[in-house]
Amino acid sequence: MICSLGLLVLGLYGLASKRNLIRLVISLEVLVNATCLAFAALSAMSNPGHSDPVVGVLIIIVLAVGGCIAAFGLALALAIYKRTGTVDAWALRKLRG
Amino acid sequence: MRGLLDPILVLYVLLASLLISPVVECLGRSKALPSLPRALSLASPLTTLLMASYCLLMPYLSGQALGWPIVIAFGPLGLSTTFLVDRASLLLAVVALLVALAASLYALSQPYEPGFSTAFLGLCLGMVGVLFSGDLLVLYVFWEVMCLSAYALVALGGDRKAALEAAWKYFIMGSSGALVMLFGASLLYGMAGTLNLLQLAERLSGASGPWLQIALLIFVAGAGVEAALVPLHTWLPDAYSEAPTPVSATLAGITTEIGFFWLLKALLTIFHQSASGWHVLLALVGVANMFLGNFCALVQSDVKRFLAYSSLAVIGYMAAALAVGTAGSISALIFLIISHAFSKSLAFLGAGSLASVARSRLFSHLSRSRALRKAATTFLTLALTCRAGLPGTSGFVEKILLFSAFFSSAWWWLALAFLLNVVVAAAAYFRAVKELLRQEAGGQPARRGRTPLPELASFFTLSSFIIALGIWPWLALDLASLGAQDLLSLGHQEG
Repeated sequence: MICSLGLLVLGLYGLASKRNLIRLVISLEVLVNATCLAFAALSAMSNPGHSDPVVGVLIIIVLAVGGCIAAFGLALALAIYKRTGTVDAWALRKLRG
Repeated sequence: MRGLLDPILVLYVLLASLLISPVVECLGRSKALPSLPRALSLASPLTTLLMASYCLLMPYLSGQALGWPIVIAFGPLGLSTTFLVDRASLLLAVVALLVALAASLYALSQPYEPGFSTAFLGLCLGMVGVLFSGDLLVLYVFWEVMCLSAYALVALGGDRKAALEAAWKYFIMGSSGALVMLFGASLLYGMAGTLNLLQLAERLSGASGPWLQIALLIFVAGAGVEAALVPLHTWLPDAYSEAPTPVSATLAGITTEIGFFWLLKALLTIFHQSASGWHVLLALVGVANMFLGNFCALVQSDVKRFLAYSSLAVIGYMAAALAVGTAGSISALIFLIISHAFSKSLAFLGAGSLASVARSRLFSHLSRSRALRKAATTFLTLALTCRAGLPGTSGFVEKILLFSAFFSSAWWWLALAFLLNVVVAAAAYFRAVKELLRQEAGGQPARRGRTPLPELASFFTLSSFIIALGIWPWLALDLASLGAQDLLSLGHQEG
């Protein structure tokens, strides 16, 4: 549980501080892993000796959805790179006000 | 007994349409069947709209007692995929599909972007799935389907560079919000050992302690991104203004409201009997949303950004109504969602039609294209005056309901803030109408034009509901109060 909290903070820190689009997608994936780890840890803590099948199913589905998020994020980053020639998030500052 | 038609069939039809849409997209690229994807994105919301309306209205009109909310579980409760269909969810599903239908009608007059049909059907499936979900895993999956489709649709906007920027901001904020919400769900699972909504409500009833408050805070922060609660709203003006017009209309009209509705369902079910303090937190956030949205709308020169900021204010009204938490305020909230869905979608569609002719979204340029799109100007004016609260439209009824709900509760300061904001919002809307109907110094251009037929059809569909709800709101009010009853009873159900 402590590891998952650490990963959550790391993921949120990455999202807040990184400028590279690919690193931002990686930070999102860290958040996916933090959530899966939290579910696994809490399942083991509340059912000592056996694992809850619901959590097993949940982790598989969340990892699959995490894959979709990463694929979509990378596709969007690629489209932005093709248009702007950069993967710097700070270059995306046209929309304000 | 669920009547003749099971509400879950609506989800099946949308899922089947989504699964065949990539094939239909490929067929649409051939010269023989170019309009097949458009036909699918029109036929699927229409069919499911009829099915959902039947599920909602037949038991109501025939007086059949179905035992709402309906629990549809595939397996033993707690270990299964569970859907929870109450009358509020079903009513909002009907509204969402109606808005989606109007948006896809409007899209017929626009050049087709490859992939639009698939993403649009994904959005429809996600919205209905989120409304019907009965456990947190089902919710997360449909939430991501809805959000990923919405990001993709925003990225299809006309000014592609700006649209990609808006889609990126929306993607990063929306995805991190969804994952944070899921982390909150893991804490709830740790405390209750289940993800099922009804079981969570039962097992957490009367619970207290710091972990519950932390889970509540994380849950509200996560869902608050999609629901655009201040300060997590920054994606909203960019995404709404840069998305293609039918997409802006759907997102502003109903998608964000569905995000908020799920937050409402979770707060009334899971946290109603346990965590305290969320009422005050939500009331403060709601007031911040109202003031920020209305004052920012007052100074906008871009029509789509103006409409986006005014949506932010409406989210504030909803948060305030949820904070009050009485049956009257929840049914007023449901009526507000319905009225806002129709009027804001109509405003976005009308503004998009004018902007496409003027090739600009600035108010000062829109008035030049008035002669070319007279119908669009008329309907946009109707939508703006409805949002301002003109009697005879649904906007007036919604404001009366909300004000009486605030005033009859102990939250007098919310009633005061609401009243102040209604005045500021009316000033903003009438300023927009004045800008729109302003006479140019050189007179109107000699060119005349007609609004395309699909656009007219979508305008008529939405405006007829705005006026019908303004003159004869009883059916919607009755359904909204039954929906509110169902929602309030969820927290007391046996799991």
